[in-house]
Amino acid sequence: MRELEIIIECDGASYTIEAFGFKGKGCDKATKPYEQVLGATVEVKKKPEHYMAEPVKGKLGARK
Amino acid sequence: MSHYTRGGVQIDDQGCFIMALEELGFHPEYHEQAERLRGYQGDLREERAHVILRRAEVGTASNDIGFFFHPGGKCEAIISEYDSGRYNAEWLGKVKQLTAKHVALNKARSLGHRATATVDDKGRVRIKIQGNL
Repeated sequence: MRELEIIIECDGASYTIEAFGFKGKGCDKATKPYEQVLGATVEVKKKPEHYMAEPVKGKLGARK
Repeated sequence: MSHYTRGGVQIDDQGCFIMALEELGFHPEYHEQAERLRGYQGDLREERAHVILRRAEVGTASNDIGFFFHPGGKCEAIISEYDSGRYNAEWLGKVKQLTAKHVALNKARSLGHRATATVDDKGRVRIKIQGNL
């Protein structure tokens, strides 16, 4: 099952989005609407599962 | 008379910001035109704000806390020196964290996704989102 998890840090300054159950770059489409409202992405990390899950890190409040 | 200090933070969604303050137990006032704050004796201060937490719920002998929204979304917190010990950068971070939570939950609702929010043992907000992703 596809799932996103957004983790918002205690200081409210940054967040992480992790995508589970996606193949290839399908997660980009799913995470984008959330990145747009939460703020610009500053870092993208690939998990060892090779595209099965892609965490996305961003800074809150800095919209694209 | 305790003087006010100002600190800026970017808040793009005032509705979610107010929901965050409500979640922390406040009853924030919203004014389209910024209104003057009141000091601990009920005196009108020069500082104006769009969102106001009245002194009665800020604390004993406290002053109003205000948030002034500049064009473009920058929010200026106006907190008296007296109250800045309790309502400090950590508290403002919590407000911002909860604002972001409501922004994400609103987006999930608008997209028809199911979302559940929890707080982990490190105090981070974790939002699980499922549905037609």
